[in-house]
Amino acid sequence: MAAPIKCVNFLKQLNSSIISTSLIHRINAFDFVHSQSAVGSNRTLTTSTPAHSVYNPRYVEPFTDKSKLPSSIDDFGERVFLPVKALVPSHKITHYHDPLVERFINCCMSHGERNLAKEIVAKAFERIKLIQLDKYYKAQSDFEREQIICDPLKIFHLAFANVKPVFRLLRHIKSGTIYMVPIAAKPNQAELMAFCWLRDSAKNKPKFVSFWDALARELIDASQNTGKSVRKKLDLHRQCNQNKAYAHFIWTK
Amino acid sequence: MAARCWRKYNFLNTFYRQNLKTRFSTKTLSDALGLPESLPISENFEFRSESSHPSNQNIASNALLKCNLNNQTQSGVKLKVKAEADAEQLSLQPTPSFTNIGSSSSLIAASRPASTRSIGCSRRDYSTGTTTNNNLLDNRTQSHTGGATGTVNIGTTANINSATHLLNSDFNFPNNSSVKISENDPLKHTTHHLFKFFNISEDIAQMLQISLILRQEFVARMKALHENSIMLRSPGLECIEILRASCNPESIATKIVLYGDDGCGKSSTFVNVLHTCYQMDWMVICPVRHYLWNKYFSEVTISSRKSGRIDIPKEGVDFLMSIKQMNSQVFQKFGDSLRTVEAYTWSKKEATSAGSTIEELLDFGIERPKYSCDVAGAFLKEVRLNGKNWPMPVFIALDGVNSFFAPTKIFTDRVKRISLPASQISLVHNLLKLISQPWHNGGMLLVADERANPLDKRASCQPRYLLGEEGFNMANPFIPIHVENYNHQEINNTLDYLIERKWIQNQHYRTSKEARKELIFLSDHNPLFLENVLKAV
Repeated sequence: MAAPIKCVNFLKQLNSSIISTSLIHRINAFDFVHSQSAVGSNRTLTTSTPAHSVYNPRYVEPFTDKSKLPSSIDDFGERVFLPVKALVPSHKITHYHDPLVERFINCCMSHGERNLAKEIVAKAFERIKLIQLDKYYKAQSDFEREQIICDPLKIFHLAFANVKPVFRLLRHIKSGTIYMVPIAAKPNQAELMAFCWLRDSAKNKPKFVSFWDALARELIDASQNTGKSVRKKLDLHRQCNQNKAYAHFIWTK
Repeated sequence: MAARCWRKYNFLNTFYRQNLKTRFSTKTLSDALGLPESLPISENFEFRSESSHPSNQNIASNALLKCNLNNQTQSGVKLKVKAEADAEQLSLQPTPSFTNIGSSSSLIAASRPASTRSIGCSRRDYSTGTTTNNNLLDNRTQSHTGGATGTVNIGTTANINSATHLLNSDFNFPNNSSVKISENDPLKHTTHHLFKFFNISEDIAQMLQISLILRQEFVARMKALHENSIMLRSPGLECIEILRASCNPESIATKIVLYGDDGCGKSSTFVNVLHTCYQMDWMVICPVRHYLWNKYFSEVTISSRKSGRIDIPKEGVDFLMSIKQMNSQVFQKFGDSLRTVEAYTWSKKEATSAGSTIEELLDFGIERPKYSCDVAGAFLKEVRLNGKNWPMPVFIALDGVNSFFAPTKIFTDRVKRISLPASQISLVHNLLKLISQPWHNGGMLLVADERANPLDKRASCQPRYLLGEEGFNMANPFIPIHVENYNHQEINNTLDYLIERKWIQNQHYRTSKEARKELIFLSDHNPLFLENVLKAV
């Protein structure tokens, strides 16, 4: 903590012609942040502001829902005078925007072909509807029909919740031996793992089956807590349970 | 493996590029074709409403005329012009005299050339590249003042935006539903049933091979919903009326050409007409997927009957089988009276004598694939020459007829890439004879489809462009019928039906009006686009 502040003070004393104006701004910002923060914190220069943001911090988030829009202009308050960020392209179809699905499309994408990935996931969702509605109309009693979920979005969310792991394994080497150390998975890490498992288990298929067909089957299976990707999650959890004894290594690192 | 992938990728790339090129080409249509501007590219058609209540009448006319008229500009951007002002004018005017559809259909055939050619204006004016709102308005007023020419009367019983009350509907489909025709007999369909769905029973659907005529996704959806339902639309009804009025032993066979943008519902209207003709106990001749004869064939042999012509025996057998399958009712009823006039010798030992039944002729072709194409030719010749003596009319339906005038994949010279014209395939040759020569007691429904053309010839949906000069002259005179995008009522009924049948699952789209508006905006009133939008919903 002490070293960077000393450095800043030294830089401030230098002739301003040597230092560019932008650097001065950054230094001032740094000074402002650190005057407010606790003394013992480990903050550095880079964490004070996002490195490559397109917008400067004055920009505010746009409204994505019409119902949340204020009725009169007086209710906007400060927002009237502030610049607003552009809407994310996927958010333009407002009634069908689902951030989780958007991220899953990113995961399925290869070579930057986002439209293709979107189309494929849409096809998988269509296939889910085809399978489930066929079951729905074949069912004999009302009780059976109530059990069947036909909404592909609901099935996707259920499948995701079932596949998402709680723990993950970290590789730790101590005195020449490798220990797999269990650690709690952060939400974004768990999400990535779940997406990859769903995708990869759909890719493990015979050649004559299309990917969207396999993905639809996998999602339906996972929503019922069965299938390859759910088994992968259970395997991981079992291994974490076995390696419970190494958990304390996380503090020795 | 890598090379294969790369090739596939390359192919996809070229495919997309070509599609883009054709869809948004900056070339004008008249340049591409070398057309004179006075040629009637399409005809205008008027919708008017009829009901007992004068208040309903105004509402209906407003709703119908408010539907967007899509005009395409040069840059490919679609502009929407609302004819609201015109609708207001209409409601103020005194109502014109109405004609029933039965009599109007004959009027259409008689008066269309005069009315359309004098006006000479199309809804999609490619040559100028500008919107033609004023012309359209003029047209409408002209047709009002100068007597009703092509009028279709429309019932006004449909209720728009009735999604909310359907949410708690039972599993069993209600018969008195607003979007469903309770009458399943297609002969009793009238203009009051317009824009509503009717069912085709499973047996007939299999008999007519509907799964091979319609789009694959559409068929899959029908299978999942356990219901073969198709909307009754005005072009289909018009076709049926024309055919019923004109198919006599005395009159020459009428030719109807359906045309319209990709995904407008040409094939579904085609199925509608085919279904009704089947129910009327007509002889139905419908070679399914005949547009693939140019590209994908299992076997090619040189014809023994005529030098320079080519046979495709397996496809010939399929064609004969389909004729037998679709007309099993007809053969049961009139089997004895259908007999050949001429005698045919196939080889030294095999021959069909004059006076043998048509069924025997077909059976011979199915048993001996070598002669299947010749047998098909003989059968079509019998239709052409002797059809007027038959007890029932003959209906010939060709979906994607423009493939008959497109190049094939059979190369006469591989180095110079000279391909055989499709008219040299014996099956095609025999069908073309029916199109070009006059014959009696029957009707033909031809569909000009973009998808039957090769990739570089899909710039326009007009029959003059798709059929080419040769095909256009061959089919002339014919009755052109334009299949348009959904109007406001049709798209709302479709959405209501899909909500009822639980194809639309998302709660927003099931309940809120704004979401419905968004769907309509995204689909641009096009049935195919709507299907694509509703995939994941």
